[in-house]
This record gives sequence, structure tokens and C-alpha cells, in this order.
Amino acid sequence: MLDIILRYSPGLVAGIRTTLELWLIIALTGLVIGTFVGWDAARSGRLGWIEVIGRWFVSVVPALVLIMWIYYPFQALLRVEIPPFWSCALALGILNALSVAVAIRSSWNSIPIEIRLLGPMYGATRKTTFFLVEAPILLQLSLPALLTIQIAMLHATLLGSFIGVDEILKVTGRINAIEYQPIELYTILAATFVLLCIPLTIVAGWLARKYRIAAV
Amino acid sequence: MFEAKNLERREGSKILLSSISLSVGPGDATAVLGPSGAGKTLLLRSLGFVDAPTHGSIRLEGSEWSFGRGTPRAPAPWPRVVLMFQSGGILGHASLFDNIVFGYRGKANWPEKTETANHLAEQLGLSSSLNQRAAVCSVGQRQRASFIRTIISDAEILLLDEPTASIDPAQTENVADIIIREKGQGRSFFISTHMLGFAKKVCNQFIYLQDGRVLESGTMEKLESYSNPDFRQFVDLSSLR
Repeated sequence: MLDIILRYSPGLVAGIRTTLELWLIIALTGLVIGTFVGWDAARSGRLGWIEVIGRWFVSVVPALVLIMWIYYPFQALLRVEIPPFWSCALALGILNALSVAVAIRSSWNSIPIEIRLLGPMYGATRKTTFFLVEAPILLQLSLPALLTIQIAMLHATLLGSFIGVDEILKVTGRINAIEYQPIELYTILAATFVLLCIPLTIVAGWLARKYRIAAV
Repeated sequence: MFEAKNLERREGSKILLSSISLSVGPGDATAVLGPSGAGKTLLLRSLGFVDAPTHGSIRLEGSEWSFGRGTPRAPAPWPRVVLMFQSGGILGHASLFDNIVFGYRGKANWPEKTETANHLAEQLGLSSSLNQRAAVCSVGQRQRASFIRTIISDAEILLLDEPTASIDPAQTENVADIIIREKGQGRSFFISTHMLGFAKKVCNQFIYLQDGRVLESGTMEKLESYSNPDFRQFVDLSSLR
């Protein structure tokens, strides 16, 4: 197994790098846009319709179908050419943003009203209310769901191989076509994902403990 | 003058509060008495604009808030009216001190409010735990912090929901003394409590709720003279505490 890793290390490293780049883009855009939409939907309701559509969309449209749709018909309709990497990033970024928005809004709705009213009732400034009251509690409530979504998105990057993204699954498949050592190669793939997900799980656990019992 | 007229709260066909009218003037304290489930907390939450009644109105110094189907919701008059919640309303991740004074961060009255908070904390035996995270404090410490936060607010109308439920007798005396002092400065209170002795000490009037209705109301001096059997039983049992 070590022999294969050493021999194909440039390809494997490139595959891991593509997977991580894809995931970082999906995670960052999803978290930023999704948090904004979810927060606004919960607070003012202006973007609530996006969150409602998102809730429905995420539950009925498989990620692979969306990736395929953006890679083929979407490009044909708009008569544009989007590389596989960016098609996959766009599809999964949309799914991630919608999932994050749903999680943020649900978390906001589960904050007890006694906490939500503290800021306005005691005349606190918006800044104090956000940083001392709302953000820590929202973080505590939504963190497990947000990290689970991001881990699911990391796994979903594998779907990019269906449209030719050179991520780790595609690279592994290509090496296997040359070497035909599926046990070793797919064990390396599994180990790679374990190594990528362990730090996330540790961070999630640490943050969950740090913000435990945010409201009493 | 703070006045509520015909407050009603329904959940489907169930009437939780029925046609409740009451008023409180500057320096008055009204005890909201009644058995568990009578609607005391819901009444205080309605008066505090936390839960909107389904019908009725509340008036505060010339301004009026009407409730009912199709009535536009006007902004609540916070912080002129504040509610000390029976439970909850404390940020576990913040210190007791931050829980008390967070409303004044970045404001001109911060030094004055922190000084008052420290003074009250000392009076209520909370000084040594002010910097502790609320999550690791006892229920009694959190309740005293919540009480101080309510007292140092600029509210004219203070709604206290079971303010001494988790506080020992010595500190209950201190809480009573603080309320009496604040009354003397023209602030008005509604206090829900099961502790009749405490209510007699700090309140000058009472209402007795049962099943969401006001069964008896009047001045504390005449509390013993009411003859309604349910009320009498409540008074007799409360006197044993």
C-alpha cells in the first residue's frame, strides 16, 4: 500500500488538493450566504421565501441531479461553458447555502423567547444584543447541524467525479484502472476521508462543549 | 398609571385569561396570587408585552396598546415596562455581572449602572460570584442576578414572576427591602408569588387568580376578610409556609 502511495503521490496529492479546494469554496460560500439568508429569514422574514424553497429543494432534489443539471442543460440553456470544477462548486454551493439557511432559521426559532427578548426589553444596543446574546446562542444551537452539513458536503464533492472533476475519487479510479489494486486504493481513499473529517469532528466537539448550556 | 382592561387570552376554545382589568399607580405593588396553573405567569407575560393577549388593552401614561384580531401590533414599551422571568432569561455563557448590566454596554449610564449593580449584589450576597459564568451558578444566584437586572433597569413598571422562589429566607428579606425602597421612589410592581408573608410585606394590593379569572382583589390590609372558600383555603395554606 505504501508502495502505491509513494508511486502515485503527486496524483493523489493533486486529487486531495482539488477535493479540499472544492470543499472550501462550497463551505465558505454556503456558510456565508446561508447564514445571511437564514438570519434574515428568521429576523425580518424578508428572505423567508428562499429558506422555504430551500427546505423543499434540499429534501427533494438529489445533489447528483443538480450537479448534472448545472453541467449539461443549464450551460446549454445559457449557452455558456462552465468547467466541471466550477459546475460542481456551484451546484453544491447552492445546496450548502440552502441547507445552512434552513439550519440557522430552525436554530433561531428554537431560542427561548425569554432570551430573544432580553436585548429589546433591557434596551441593549444592537451590537451588544448580537455579540452577547444572539450570536453565542445561535452558534451553540446551530453548530452541530452546520458541521454535519459541511461533512456531508465534503463527502458530496465525490460526486464531482461524474462530470470529470479531478478530485480524489476520480484520481483513485484512474490509478486503479492502471494498477488494479482496489482493496489498497479504496482503503487509502477511506483513510483520506477519515483524516479529513477527524479534525472537523474534534472542533465540533470542542465548540459544543465550550458553548454548552448557553441559556439557563 | 399603568392600566389593563379586559385582557383575555384564548388558545382555541380554551380561555387562559378571562376579562382581567387592573391598574397600578406610582409606588404601588400588586401581589398576583393564586394556585399553580391559575394564569399568574401568563398574566405577567401579557402585561410585559411578551405574550400578546387575544383581546383587551393596556394603557401607560396616555399611550394605549390594543390587542385583538386585525389590530396592528405597536412596539412594546420596553424598557419602561420590564419582566423578570420566572425561569430562563439568563445567558449561561456570560458572567452573572454581564447578565445584569449587558443592557448598558456602550452607553453613557454604564458607570452609574455598574455601581448600582455592584451595590445590590453586595446587599444580596452575590458579590463573590458576579464574575462566574451563569451556567455554573446555582438557581438562587441566577434568580438574584435576574432580580438585580430588573431593579437597575429604567422601568417604571416592574413585573416580577416568582422573584423569591429559589431564594433563602434571609435574602428574601433583602429582596423585600429593595422592593420597598424602589416603591418609595415611585416605581410600580406586579409580583406573582406563593409566599403570602412576602406579599404582605411588600404589596399594598392583591389580585387572586383562579382558572384565568380574578376571583378576589383588593387591598392587602383586607386580605383576611374575604370569604371565598377557595381564596380562604389558599390564604390558610400560604400562611403555613
